[in-house]
Amino acid sequence: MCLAVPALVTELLPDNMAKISLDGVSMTISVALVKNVAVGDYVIVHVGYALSKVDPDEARRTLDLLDEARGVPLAVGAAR
Amino acid sequence: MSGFDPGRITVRFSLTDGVVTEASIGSARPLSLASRFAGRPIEQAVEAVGLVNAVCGVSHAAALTFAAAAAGNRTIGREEAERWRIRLAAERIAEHLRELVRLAPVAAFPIVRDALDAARKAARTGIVGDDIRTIGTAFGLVPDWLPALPGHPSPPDALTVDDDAAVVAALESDADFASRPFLPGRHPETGPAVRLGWSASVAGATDAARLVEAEEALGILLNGAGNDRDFTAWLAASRTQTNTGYASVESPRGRLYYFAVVQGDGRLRDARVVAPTEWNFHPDGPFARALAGFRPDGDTVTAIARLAAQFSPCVAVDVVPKGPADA
Repeated sequence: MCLAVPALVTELLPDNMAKISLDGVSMTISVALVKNVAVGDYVIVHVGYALSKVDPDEARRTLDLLDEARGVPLAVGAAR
Repeated sequence: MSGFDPGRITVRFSLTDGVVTEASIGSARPLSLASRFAGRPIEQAVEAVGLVNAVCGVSHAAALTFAAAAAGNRTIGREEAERWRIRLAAERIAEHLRELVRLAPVAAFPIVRDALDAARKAARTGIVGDDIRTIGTAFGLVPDWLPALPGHPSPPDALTVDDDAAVVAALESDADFASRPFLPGRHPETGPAVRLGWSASVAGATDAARLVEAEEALGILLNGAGNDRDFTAWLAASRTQTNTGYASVESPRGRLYYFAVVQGDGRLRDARVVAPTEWNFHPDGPFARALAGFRPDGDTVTAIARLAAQFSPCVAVDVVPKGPADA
């Protein structure tokens, strides 16, 4: 099971890298496989790579579903 | 990190004279979240499983859609089925290409990025746009990244549609089957390599199979799903009894089972899911058997982790020596 927890892009770094906020934790990932990533975008992350961008509404719906499933709110940047 | 722990596989091994002589596989993977969406209308539950699964979300959504339809004795129309076929084919392209790109030179990334973008769009919408031509361009680069394969071995024990009845009967009678599935006298493997007659334990087989399968999937997008009648090779579904049904989907990672119970008012009452990983990493499954006698090339822990990744790139694997590793 690879959960799709949306992560907020907080900073773009050189060499197609970016800082994200995922469940309240800051980390650095590669955005080399996704076009036109910008600060404020939400991305789905898997093994250190952004898989895709998701729009804010979809990010919010996904976070709500995950909240519902585990019963504890997730904390992901401005989506909460 | 997220309060949802995706779980881990732990591999403990002993090494003697450079050969793995003993290995055990432990799993601490949580079950699917699908059952947490019980009580929702089916359409909402389908959207939910599609959204919360980062990888193979289309396969999960398709499996629940068809399982629930079978449970409710509802026929899915040709147009809707063809849209799912397009979405599944596009998802397979995106997932396979994303795995293959780790072999690629950085210079190829912009081309692959365009191809991934086109495939993901088709996976999301079920609509094929002109931009899928970029996928063929990316595929043209991949052969240069792949290592040569050895001669074709004898076919491994593959999990196929012929196993569906036994799997679903076991899943229906025992919810715990989902966490440690087995078939008596069998050690079935699932995934791209075995779909083409290889075991993932053969070096390079998984990546070679990914390219072949992705090119076939592109053919579906180019020619239209309606021209490929054999949808059963991708998805099978059936009713088991009143208000219960199942679907099995050949997801990018392997055969995915959904067993669904639907209420009379169209809400999901229960869902049980068997993911491909649970077959491949069963304590007596294909990965465990591939480890017996495995001769690691280089660092043992790294070599075993790489072997595990050929069976599933999704799962976190801890590799722990039982005794001194002499590699």
